This record gives sequence, C-alpha cells and structure tokens, in this order.
Amino acid sequence: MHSIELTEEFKLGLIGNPNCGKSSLFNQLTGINQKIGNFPGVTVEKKTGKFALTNGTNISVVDFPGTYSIYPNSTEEKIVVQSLINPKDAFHPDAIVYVADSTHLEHQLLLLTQLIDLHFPIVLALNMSDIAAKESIEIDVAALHKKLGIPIVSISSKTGQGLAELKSALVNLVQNKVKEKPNFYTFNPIEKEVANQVLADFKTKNAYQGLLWAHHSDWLTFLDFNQKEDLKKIQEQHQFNALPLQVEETMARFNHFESLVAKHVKKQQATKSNLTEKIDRILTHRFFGIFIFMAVMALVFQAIFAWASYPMDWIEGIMGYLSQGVANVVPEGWFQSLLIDGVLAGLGGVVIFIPQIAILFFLIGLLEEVGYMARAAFIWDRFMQFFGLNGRSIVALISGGACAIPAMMSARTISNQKEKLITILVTPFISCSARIPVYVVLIGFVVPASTWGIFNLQGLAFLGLYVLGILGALLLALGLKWTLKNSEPSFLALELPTYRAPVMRNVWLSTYEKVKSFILEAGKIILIISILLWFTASYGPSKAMEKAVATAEMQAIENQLSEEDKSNLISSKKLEASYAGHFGKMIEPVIKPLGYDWKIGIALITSFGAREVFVGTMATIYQIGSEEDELRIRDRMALEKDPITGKPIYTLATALSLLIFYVFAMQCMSTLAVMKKETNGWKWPIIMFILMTGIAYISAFMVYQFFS
Amino acid sequence: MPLTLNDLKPGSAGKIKGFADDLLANRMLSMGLLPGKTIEVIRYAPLGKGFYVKCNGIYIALRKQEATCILLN
Repeated sequence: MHSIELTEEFKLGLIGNPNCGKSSLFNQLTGINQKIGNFPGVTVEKKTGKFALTNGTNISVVDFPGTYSIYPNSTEEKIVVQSLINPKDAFHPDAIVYVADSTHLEHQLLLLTQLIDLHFPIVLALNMSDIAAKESIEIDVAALHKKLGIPIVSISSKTGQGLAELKSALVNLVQNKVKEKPNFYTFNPIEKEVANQVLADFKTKNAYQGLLWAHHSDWLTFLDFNQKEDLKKIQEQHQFNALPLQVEETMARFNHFESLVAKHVKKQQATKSNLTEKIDRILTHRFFGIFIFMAVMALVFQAIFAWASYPMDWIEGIMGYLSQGVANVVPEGWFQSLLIDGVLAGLGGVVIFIPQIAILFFLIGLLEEVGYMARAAFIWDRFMQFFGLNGRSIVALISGGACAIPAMMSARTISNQKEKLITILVTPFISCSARIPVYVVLIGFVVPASTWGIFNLQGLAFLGLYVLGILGALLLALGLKWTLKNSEPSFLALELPTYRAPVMRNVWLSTYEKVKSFILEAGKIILIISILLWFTASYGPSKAMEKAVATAEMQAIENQLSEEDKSNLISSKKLEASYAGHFGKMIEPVIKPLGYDWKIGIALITSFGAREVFVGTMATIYQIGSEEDELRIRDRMALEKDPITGKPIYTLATALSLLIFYVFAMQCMSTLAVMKKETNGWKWPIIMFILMTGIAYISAFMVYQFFS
Repeated sequence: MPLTLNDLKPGSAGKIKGFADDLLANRMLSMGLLPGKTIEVIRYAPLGKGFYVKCNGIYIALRKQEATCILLN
C-alpha cells in the first residue's frame, strides 16, 4: 500500500495555483497508476502516482493541492508548505514541476518565485498552451528562461502536447545538479538577519527556508517545543513582525515578476473571458442562477436515484446468481451459510454502492471540470455559511437524499477543514433511498391512503419525514458550528475559473479513483461487519438453536404445514434463538419505552447493516418467505398481539415511534465506514453513532409517549 | 469611513489602495489582488452578502466582509 512512497525513488512534486490544470497533467503522467488518500493526520487529499522517464528513472510523483503562496491561508496550503520546507518530510520533493496556466501568467508565478528561492530543481510547465495559442497569447519562452534561470516547457495537459519535452527536461533535472542561482527576492535587513541566524542555528537548507521557519514557527508540526521557543527568541531579538513582512515580500515579488510577464508575454485584448462573463450573467443570476442550479441538482438526483437503480438491479441479480451457484457447489452447512449470508452478502453490500458512487462522481467531475462547481459554491455561500457549511456542501446534502456514501465522499472538494467535517457529519441525517422501504411499511400503518385535496396523505407523510431529516441535518450543523473549534480562518475569496470544455480523461479517472478508494477502504469494514452480523443472526447458544429447530419441526407436523411454511417457521425460530435474538431480548427493556418488543429489537440490530434489512428481518420473524411484499408484512404486523395484554403491538404510536427512529438513527454500517475513511479515524463515526442513536431514541420516546 | 469595495455597485470599478486586515491581505495578494490594480464589481451574489468581481484578468467571488477589507482610492 505504501510502495508508492518508497524513498529510493526520485520524488517529484507537482505544484501550482488552483485551476492551473495540475491534476490534469498528473493524470497524463500517471494514467491509472495513481493512488488517492489523505495526508497523514488530516483530511487533505493526497494524490500519488508513478511514471518512468526515457532514461529508465522511476519517478514517484505527488500532486499537491493547489496553492497560491508559501504563506498559506488554509490547512491544505499548510500541508503543502510543510512538505516543502521540511527536508525530512515524507513528501518533500527532490524536484518540482511548477504548473502555470499560460493564459493567466500574470498572477500565477508568485509561488514559483518562492520555490526558486528555496533552491529546488524546478521546471516551469506553461500549461494550456493550446488555449493560449487560440487566444493569440505569445510567450517569449527563451527570454523568460533567461530571466528566471529555470527550464521552461510549453505543454497542454489536455492534448498531451509538450509532454515529451517536459519529460526530457526532467531527465536533465534528475541527472544534473542545478547550479546555485541568485535569489529572486532580495531580503530587507531584518529578514536577512533572521534568515541567516536560523540558517546558522538550525542548519536549514538555505536562507529562505530559514526565513520561512521563522515566519511559520507557531504552526509547523515538525518543530519541537524547544525549537519553537528558540525561533521565537530570534524573532523577538530582531523585532521580526511576521505578517506585515509577508505582505511586503509578496508585493515585492509580484512587482518583480509582473514586469517580466508584461515584457515577455503579449496578449490580445481578451475576447474569450467575455464568454465566461456572458455565461455567468445567467448562471450566477439572482433568479435564473438558483433555478438552473436546482435543475442541475434535480438531474444529478434523478441520476443517482433512478438511473443507478438499473445497474443496482443487475448487481443484485448477479449476486443472487452467485449465491445460487455457491449453494449448488458448496454442501449445505455453516460454510455455505458463511459464504452466502456473510461473505457474498457483504460483498454485495459493497458492490451495490458502485453505480451511485460512479454516477455521482462522474457528474460532479464534469461540473468541476467545466468550472461550474465554483459558481455553485459562490451562489450558496451565504445560506450555507449560516449553518457553518460551505457553498459546496449543498451538493453533498442534496445527493445525500439518494445515498449518504457518495454524498459524504463529495465533501472532499471543500478546503476549509471545519466546513468539510460538518458536511460529512450532517449528511447522514438526510433521508436516503434505503429508508424508503422502511417508510413504506410503516407509513401504511399510520396514515390512511386517502387524499386531502390534491395531496395524497401518505405522500405528505413521506415529505414530512424528509423535511424532518433536513431539519435534523441543518440544526446539527448549526450546533457543530458553535461547538467546534475553528482551526483556520474561513474564506470565500474563491477564484471563478474561466469556463472550459471538460477533459474527459480527468472525469473518468476521478470517477475510477473514487470507486476504487471506496472499495478498498470502506469495503473491508463493510465486509467485516457483514460477517459479524451474519454470525449473530445465524448462531446462538447451541442448545437453544437445537431446541428451536426441534420445536419448529414439531409445530410444523402438528399444523401440517407445507414445506415452504415449514422452512419459514424454522428460520423464524432459529433467528429468535440466535445471538441476535438474544440481543433483541436483552435490549427489550431499553426499547420498551419506545413501544418496541424484542422482535423489533432483532430488526434494529440486523438493520444496522443497512436500513432496508429491517423489512427483510421482519419478514423472517413473521415467517413470510419473501421480503418483496411489503404489504404482506404490514398486514401480518397488524395482527401481532401482545401475549400478556392482548392488545395489538403495532399501534399508531409504535409505528410513528419507529418512523422517527429510522429518520434519525445511524442505522448503516457503510455510512460509518465511509465516515471513518473521510475523517481519518474512528473518533467521529463513534461520536455520530452515539449522537444519532441518542437523538433517535429520545425523539422516538417522546413520540411514543405522546401518542400512546 | 474609508471607501471599500463593499461600497461599489455592480458595474462600477475602483483602484485598490490597500487592505484593512493583514491576514486577509495575505490571501488577496496571493491571488493577485494588488494595490494599484483596478477591481470591478460585476454583480452581487444571488442570495446577497457576496460579490462577483473582476481583477487582474480573473474572476473572484468574495464575501461581504472580505470586500469590506479591500480599501479603494
């Protein structure tokens, strides 16, 4: 798994501003030979990959998050800066390809000049040269090369043009030690003293790195307490006032390279940018902007809700076929049961999410590629900001209505850590498609199938449950906004990129990577829990199990049951005698105040795998062979009476209480698994499990007590 | 009260004089919003409290409080 980070390989860093086409170049270089994960300890996306140069050198390449400056403003940028100024960092590059958008050179070179002063071997890749040519932008590459003192290659990461030249420039970089160059920026006296003292005391690679250690001493995690204290002393000694100095330095750098760009880049007065402005006149319009966004989201929702159901049906068909195959080949017994009800059920539970994940990320990737997602963030920023969320969170919240799994994964593009976390945490409250079967069974109980004006009452109840989920999500977001610490200032200050035709390779690759990382990381957790659930539902204390089967067989003979009814009865009795049955009875005192008996208790336990299992478990308990027929389950449940009081168990109050429970409860192992993956640990999934179950319990309790 | 970007109406432009806040200044500067540059408000955000601006050839979305910290001549 960590083979890509092998240190013997030459480590290349891809660095550039956001929207420079860096990831597109990364995809060109590595193809599917890439891996997406998180940087250690943070939820910042890390993309690593491999490729080989013509001289056989293996290059391991890191696609760093888009960064504007070595003076970072976000956690993402801090990660980049830390890797760059700590030579011992696992991702510290041996050399850098600095990617810049040729059509916007005048403000893309700040970080490049800073990297030059850090003395990295560096190639400047002037990306999107095809578009620059179309816009008649002429760049005097030779002159720039002379002034900057680094190799420069014109490329197009879209068409692949110039990639060969880039690679041969890299061969030179790998082979030759670069000569020391004069710094791009000239230190003022204070900066010079501080930089040189840090250089002397800490043996940093060069003076600029020393200066940056001083600037960033309060947050750099690789420095220990004493080092930080020493750096602080140096700062005090020289009256080093970090922030204003950073501003001064940045402005000096801009002045220097802007004049270079002005001299050596010839631009026709832009016509292309007007197109973006024209499109945005509609897409960010007060009224049409919101309307069009809603229409786009309706399409996305339709795709993951309805279109995904076809491949999902095929997957279920294939899994059923496989189970049948295993049943035919493997002799009946515990091993067959493990394979079918544990392993295959678990695998099915993983694979079933692939269509939704793939479709959602294909569409999001497309919208991101053309530049629309930044507009969505702009449109919704104010509303979402109120709830401590990001403009981009709206995509997660809406797609959560189909499935929380891809929805939580879509929060990756949010760069503010707190907003990203809150988005991930509240998304599971949105009623997903797995809650529908549960709602259908229970609403039938509670709400008459009559109409009220043009509205179907059951439909209205459905809507009500959805609204409840949305309210839950927004209220929790508000609560988290107030309680969670803000580790970084919240900015919008977002570049709205020029609209461009999508590079489909990027869209396909990002879809592929999302699916792969879901299978590899969340998949194994889902599989393990699935096997555990299978075990608790199929095994029990052996005497109890034997007795259950014997009783069932006797009852079957007494009542002259058909083969089918007999096997349904046996399954039901076995489930009752299993560990799951025992747990169900064990928790009965706890769930009694909610109006549930041990049978519902079993269903609560088994449906932790996935909510829709509730219906299947109820079917087993009530000896209804097929779970297809939700109406039959409902009718059967209506007949159920309390053995002591003789009153029906499934009253209005119980059904309402169950409905509310399923709106709020974290009844989904896949959600927990993905939450663990996206938040980098078990802390948040555990907190959310307790919190959501708690909220579900309390609200179900109140509803039951009120209506009974 | 000094003139800030927040005072501009859509369609009007001003010249950046400086920033009221060093931290935000850092962010703005690194995106190329420099003193001396012309900045134009193209429109407000659909839900309010936001700006769609053009500066130095790029389009940028800003919150109201970010616009307030950009001082104009």
